[in-house]
Amino acid sequence: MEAQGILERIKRIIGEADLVWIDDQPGDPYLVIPKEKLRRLAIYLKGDPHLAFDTLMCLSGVHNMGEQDEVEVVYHLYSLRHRHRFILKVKLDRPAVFPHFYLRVDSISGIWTAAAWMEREAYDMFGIHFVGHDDFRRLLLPTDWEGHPLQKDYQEPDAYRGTSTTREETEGILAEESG
Amino acid sequence: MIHLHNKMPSEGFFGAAFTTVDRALNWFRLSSVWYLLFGLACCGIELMQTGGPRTDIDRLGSVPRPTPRQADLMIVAGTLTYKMASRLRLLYDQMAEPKYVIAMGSCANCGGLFQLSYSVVKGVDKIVPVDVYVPGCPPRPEALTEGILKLQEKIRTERFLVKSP
Repeated sequence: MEAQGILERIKRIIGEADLVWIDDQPGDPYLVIPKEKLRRLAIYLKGDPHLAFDTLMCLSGVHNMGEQDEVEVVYHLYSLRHRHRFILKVKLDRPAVFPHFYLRVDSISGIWTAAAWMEREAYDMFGIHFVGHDDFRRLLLPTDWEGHPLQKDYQEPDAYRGTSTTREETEGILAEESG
Repeated sequence: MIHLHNKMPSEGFFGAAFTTVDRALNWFRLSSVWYLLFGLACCGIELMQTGGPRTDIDRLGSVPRPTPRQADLMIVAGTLTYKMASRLRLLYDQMAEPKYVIAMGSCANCGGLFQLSYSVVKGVDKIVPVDVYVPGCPPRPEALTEGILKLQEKIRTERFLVKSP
């Protein structure tokens, strides 16, 4: 099924309200949905025999810090049965105060098991909390790591466990090259 | 220096060597620098090649050991992350004295290509003391062999029994 057909089918089940369909940008078209509808839609996308999205190819995070400070979660879905694909996005506002409190979205690891590690990675890098995850902790970074390094405003600390994070001999060279 | 005497005036041919105990010990040790396999990244492939049939550092007495307790030398080959750093220190502490470290490649020397990364240690000398730095990205097996020869030179001049000359 083409992306347009999939979209029509999605609209029929969860309604047209709050759905934003973006197909005029370079790359694959995608659908932005409100985070409240994610879980219900995910169950439908997997269970519907005409869609049958049995594979979650990729779950990733994006941090946009332009006019609006927001974090996106991107879901790339694929159906092995019908050989079609679809891209979902959930946008989360990231206010200046207590940003971690607002970066919350339902976990879909109960629907696609592949999401379990990818959600942990997205939490590791972007600080997105996936509510309802069985084993929610950092995936790649050490457990005592502070901050989420792929957030645009992440500042590297001076030291980690007593080891300084800069090197005296290369500091001048690096400053010259970046400046 | 080891003085070899093959010919004695009255007895015909037989071998004898005269040296100091320190020099003999150093000679034995530098001829059997067993190294701990510590391949962390692409340098690990070059490390394997160095032990392989072309470069073959076995002929210098260096053989790979899979355990730190049998190793004299740790070749840190590759990018060290902060998460791995505590493991590196643990393995280093398990090695028996005297022990040596070669930092192989730019990443191990100073962070290399990944100097601006948040997760990479900017040089393994922040974690363990390093004896020989081998530059390159990654260094060719010849370069690592040169590093081991440099380390052998260092071992040759060490003193254990007589501290001053």
